[in-house]
Amino acid sequence: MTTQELVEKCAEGDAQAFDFLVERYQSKIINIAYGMLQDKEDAYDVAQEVFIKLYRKIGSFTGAASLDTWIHRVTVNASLDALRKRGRRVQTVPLAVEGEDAQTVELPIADDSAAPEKVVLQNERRRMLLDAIERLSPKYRSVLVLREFEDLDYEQIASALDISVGTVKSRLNRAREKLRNLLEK
Amino acid sequence: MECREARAYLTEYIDGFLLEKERAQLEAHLQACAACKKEVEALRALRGELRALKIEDTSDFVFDIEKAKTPAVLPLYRQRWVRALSVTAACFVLFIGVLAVTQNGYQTPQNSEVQILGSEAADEEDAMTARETNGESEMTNGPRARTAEVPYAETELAVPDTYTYYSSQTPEAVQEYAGKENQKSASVTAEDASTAEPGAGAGAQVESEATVPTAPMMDKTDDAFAPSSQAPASGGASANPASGGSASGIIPAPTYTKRTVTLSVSPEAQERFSYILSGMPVTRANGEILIGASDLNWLLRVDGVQIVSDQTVECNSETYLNKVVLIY
Repeated sequence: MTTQELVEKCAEGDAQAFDFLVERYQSKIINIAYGMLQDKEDAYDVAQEVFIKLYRKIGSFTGAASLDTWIHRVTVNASLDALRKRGRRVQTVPLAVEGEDAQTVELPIADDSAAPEKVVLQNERRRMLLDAIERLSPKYRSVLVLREFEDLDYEQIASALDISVGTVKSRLNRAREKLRNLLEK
Repeated sequence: MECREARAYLTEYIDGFLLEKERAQLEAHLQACAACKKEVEALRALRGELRALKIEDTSDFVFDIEKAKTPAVLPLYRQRWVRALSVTAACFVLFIGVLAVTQNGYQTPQNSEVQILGSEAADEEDAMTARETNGESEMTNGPRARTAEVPYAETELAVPDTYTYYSSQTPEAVQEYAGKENQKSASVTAEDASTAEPGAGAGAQVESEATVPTAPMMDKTDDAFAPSSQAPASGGASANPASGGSASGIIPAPTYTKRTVTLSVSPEAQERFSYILSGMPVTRANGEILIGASDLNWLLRVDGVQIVSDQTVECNSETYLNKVVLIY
C-alpha cells in the first residue's frame, strides 16, 4: 500500500492504517530525533509527540511528499523544543568516569556481522561522535542529521528547515568542519 | 583549481551533488594535491561513521494512540486568557498600591541608599539565619521563589520540591524560617511592622517598605562570579550594630542569594569536566571552575548531595559522580 493510500485510509478513521503509517515512519522519526538529542529515550518521546500531531492532522495532507516534509520539519522542531526544555529546566550530564565499566555498557549498536562493508563503531568512538554532535549548535546539527541520518538531498533539507539550498550547503560544510575539529581534539 | 576553491566543493563532492564540470576540475586537483585528497578521505570516513550511529532496530517503539485521541488541553496557567487576566490584575494591584502610598504623603528615598540598606538588612538576616542553622537556611529565599515557577512534573529528574527541602532541615531551622516568614508577613502594615521592630519608628518603617528594591536588581549589580562576599555564613560585618541600626527600620526584601560553587578538578579530569560544564554559567580561574550566576537561582547537586552555599567540591577521576544537576 502506498503512503498516499495509507494517508487516505487514516483520514477515513482506519486505525490499522495508522499503525502501518507509524511502522513506516518510526525509524525515520526516531533517528532524526536521536541525532538531534543523542538519547534514545528522548528520541522515542519525540516520536510519540510527532505521531500524536500526525494523528490529529492526518486529514490535511495532500500527498506523500508533503507528509515527508511535514514529518521532517515537525520532528526537528519537536527535538529543538526538547533541547530547549533540557537547557531551561534541568540540565543533566552523566558524569560516570570512563573506565572498565564503560567498555561493557550495552549500547544499541546494530549487528553488522552480515554487512561487513558497513562501519562498525566501538562504544568509545560512538560516544565520542555523539558527544561531538551534541556540541554542534542546533542549526548545524539539524542540517547534518537530516543529511547523514536520513540521506535527504539539499532541496529536501531546505524544505524541511525552511532555509535556502545555499544555506544548507554552507551549514553542512561548516558542520562537518566543526565536527572534524571536535573529534581531532 | 586552487586548494581553497577545491575545499569549497568538497561537501557537495562527497555527497555526490557536484555538477559534472566542477567535479572534473576537482578530481583533477585531487590527483595533484595530496592534502585535499586526504581531506576527502577523512570526510568520507566521517560520513560512514555518522551513518553507523543510526538506531537500526526501533521495533520496541510503541505508539500510544490513546494519547492522540485525547484532545490536548492546556493547563489553566498556560491558557492565554488566564495569563492576560493575571497580568491585568497584577497591574491593577500595583497601581492601587502606588496610589495608596503616594496619597499618604510618604516620600521615596534615593534608590541607591535603599539598595545599600536593603542589602545590609538582607545580609544581616541571612547571616543570623546561617549562624543558627549551619548555613543551610539561606537557601530558603532565592531558589524557593524561582523554582516555584517550574512545574516539576515536566522536569526529567525527581527534583525535590521546596517542602522536601525544608523537611531535611533541622527543627530549629524550620522554626527560624517560620519566624522569618511571620516577621515578613507582619511587616505588610506599618502597625504590625513596628510591633515586630519595637526600636524602630513606624514612620521610618513605612517609608522603607515602599521602596525596598527587589533582590534581582541588587544581584545584577554584582559581579556574577566573584567569590561570594555576600555569603551569609561569612557575613560577620553585616551584623555590625551600626549598620544594623541604620537598617533596623528596613524590612528585608526577599533576596536571591548569589552562590558560587567551585569544582576543584584534578588535571586528568579537567577535560571531561570542562565538557560537562559547557552550557552552564561557568567561568574558569586559576585552574578552578566556578559555577554561578547572579541572575539565576539554581541548585547544584553532586552525587545527590545538594550544595547549599559557597563551597569547594573536590573532583578527580577517582571521584564517583553520577550527575551534576543544574536547576534554574
